[in-house]
Amino acid sequence: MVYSEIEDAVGKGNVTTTEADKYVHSVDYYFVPRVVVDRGGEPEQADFIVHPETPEQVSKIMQIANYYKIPVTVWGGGSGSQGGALPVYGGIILDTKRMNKVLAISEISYTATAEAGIIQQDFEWAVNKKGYSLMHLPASISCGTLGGFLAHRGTGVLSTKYGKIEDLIVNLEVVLPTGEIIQTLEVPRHASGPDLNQIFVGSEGCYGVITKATVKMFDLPEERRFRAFMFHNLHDAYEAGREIVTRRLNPSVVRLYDESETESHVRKVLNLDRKGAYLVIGFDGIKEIVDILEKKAVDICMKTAYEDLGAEGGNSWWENRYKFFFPPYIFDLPRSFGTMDTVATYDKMEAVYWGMKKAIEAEFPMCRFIAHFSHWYEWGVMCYDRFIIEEKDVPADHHEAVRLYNDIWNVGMRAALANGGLINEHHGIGIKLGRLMKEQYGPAFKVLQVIKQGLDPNGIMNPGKAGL
Amino acid sequence: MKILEFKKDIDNCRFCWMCRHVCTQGRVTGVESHTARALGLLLAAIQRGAREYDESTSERMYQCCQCGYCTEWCVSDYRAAKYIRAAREDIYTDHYQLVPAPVKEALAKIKKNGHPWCVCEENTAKLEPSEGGENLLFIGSAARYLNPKTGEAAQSIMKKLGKPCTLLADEPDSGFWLWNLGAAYPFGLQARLTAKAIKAAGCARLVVVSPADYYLFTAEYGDLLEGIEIVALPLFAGVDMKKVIGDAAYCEASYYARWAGLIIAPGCEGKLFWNGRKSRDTGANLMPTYPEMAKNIADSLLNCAAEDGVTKLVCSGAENYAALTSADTKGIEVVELLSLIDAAL
Repeated sequence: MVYSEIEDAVGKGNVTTTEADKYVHSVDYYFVPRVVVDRGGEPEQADFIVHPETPEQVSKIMQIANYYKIPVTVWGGGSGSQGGALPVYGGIILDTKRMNKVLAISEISYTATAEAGIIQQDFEWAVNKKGYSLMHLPASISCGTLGGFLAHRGTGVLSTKYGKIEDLIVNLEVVLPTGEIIQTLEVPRHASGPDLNQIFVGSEGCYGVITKATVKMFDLPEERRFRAFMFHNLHDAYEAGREIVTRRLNPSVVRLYDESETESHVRKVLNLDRKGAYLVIGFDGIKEIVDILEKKAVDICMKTAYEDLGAEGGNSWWENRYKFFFPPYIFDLPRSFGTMDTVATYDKMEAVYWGMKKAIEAEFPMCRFIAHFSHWYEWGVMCYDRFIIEEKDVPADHHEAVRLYNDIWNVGMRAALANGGLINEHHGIGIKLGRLMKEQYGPAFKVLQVIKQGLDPNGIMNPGKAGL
Repeated sequence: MKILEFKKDIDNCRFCWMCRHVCTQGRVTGVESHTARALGLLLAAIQRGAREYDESTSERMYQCCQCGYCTEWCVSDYRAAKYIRAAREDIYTDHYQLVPAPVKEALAKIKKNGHPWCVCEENTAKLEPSEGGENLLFIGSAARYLNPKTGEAAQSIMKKLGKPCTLLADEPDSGFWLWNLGAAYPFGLQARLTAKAIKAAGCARLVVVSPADYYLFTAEYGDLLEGIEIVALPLFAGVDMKKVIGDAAYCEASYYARWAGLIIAPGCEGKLFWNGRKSRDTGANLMPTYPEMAKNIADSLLNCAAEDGVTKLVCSGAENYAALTSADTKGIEVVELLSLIDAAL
């Protein structure tokens, strides 16, 4: 009965219940379903996989779901690391990838509009053809959708200059959990009440389905330059990065790898045989301006760096920036691993880093803790820290493996919170961190909960996620 | 299980998404289970004994268009398209009841004719009997029956090159489609038969028309053709490809030919609408089994070509030509490379 209604809403061929389709939509980038399938188990699966092609079809699905109280989980690329796209209560997976058209590119307003199911790389290529860039260039650009990046407040490698996705959004179209199709205001800067964009950006599919978005667009830079340096220790490199950013040299990227990650990962991927902390900086813009900014930045770095690796060192990182995310370079099973990205003000971040490192390594001696700092702001920086457990120390039973994994997250994230950091900076909350949202927000969490209750009275929209 | 030969590839692909944006079929359909990651995930579970092959899994394995861009994009060269084909072999050999109906229909045609194409007088290449010289010209079923002008151009090229060649009177099929669809045992039989016929001709060199056949002869025939030099006709012709192709856009032969190291038009890569385009695969590999999907893939490629202002598109291989011209070409002139080479000589 429900199948017929869904089929009527989206058309034949746009809904499936096959074993293959349900299975592949039950595993995203989150460790838990991966270890489950690796150990021969079956993760939770949806009952229906639906591929709407228009917001009107999405609206009809939401109305059906509300009527029958069926959970709806939105799936863009399914490449999130937090379990946000997993159908933990079954129901409907709403796969957005057939809503994938570029709708408009404005060379006057420097904006571009696309349906939210577009793979970000496709969107980027479409604007590249005209000489522009969206400057949202994460490693998951090849697999993540525009809607997915918006839903979890994603970021890209050049965010230090161009912003995170929440800085890049101009307006949105959203289908609410009850089926209404709404548009946020045409422009993001106004004095007409709170910014509706920022209610939905980061809502992880819990407040509705993003179906279309207009984002900022930029000229491809006349000059794009990178440079790298080696420092004896993390602190010196951190201070150099902080000074570069807070003195408003406006770098496109500052990327700092701690000693451990330089030793283990940077060496493997970039073939860089150096000890210490590895720092990459980059500048985009008019050549003469880039010359000046780069020189200033070099002067800052060379106060404490022990080696200037030059443009070659920086370009090596840029050319291989995504290689870190391909197997076998990326951390994956049979290891246990987690990326505990956090963010804090500059005065607190070193304490956050050391607090997390010490807490994890003390309580879980089998863990290795590595980190890099990849997204820098005028007021602070994010730390992309990871724990890794080698195969021999990962429990064979997947329940035990997940228990250990969650214990490490609890310790690590609470250490971050205790030192002034947040529980996530750009991967989102999903299932993984939902239990820590109230701890982080305190009484303010009520605001997010009330919005949820108002928009989704039947609680069908991506249930079990984001702590809501 | 043939897929066990690809355990490392499957285990690494199953959780990785880095090639999704170049997966031809996945992009055209928007279906998650068409991508290399999804198919790897399914096969990883089957390898571990956690799942069995089922109808839907089997269908997805056969709906891969075998473009190979997944491997081409991967920095680690994991062989997704190859393990998908290996899965077809496992399905055919051990779970024949799960082979999708369209595939069984194609296999029935192949059993009857040696290939999946329609054989009719008016659509068969007009080739003159020919014998002699050190070259055996292997036309292939696509150039005989799917786009006969390719077969005719092939023979004309050899004449214009002044290279006497033998044409097998009852040329057996290479077995490409049997191999591609996972029919391992029948392919083995066909390969032996074809190799025997080729060897019996007594030629030192096998000049192959189809890029797909070229791959098969060089990579999958093992030592059946030992002692015989195997060359691809477009390269054997020795023409300046840049001059031949001119300002036209060029669609390189996809799938296995490139894996055999066959880059037919080196120096013309810049004309490929790659990196920013919806894929340059023509969908030819799905014509015998899922023609509607093949057409959608061809449509996607032609749409991109039209958006780019392409007015003339050169493709290599009779199958690719047939795939493209079965779709709406949007006013783009589609030309098969051998016809251009023939005209240039």
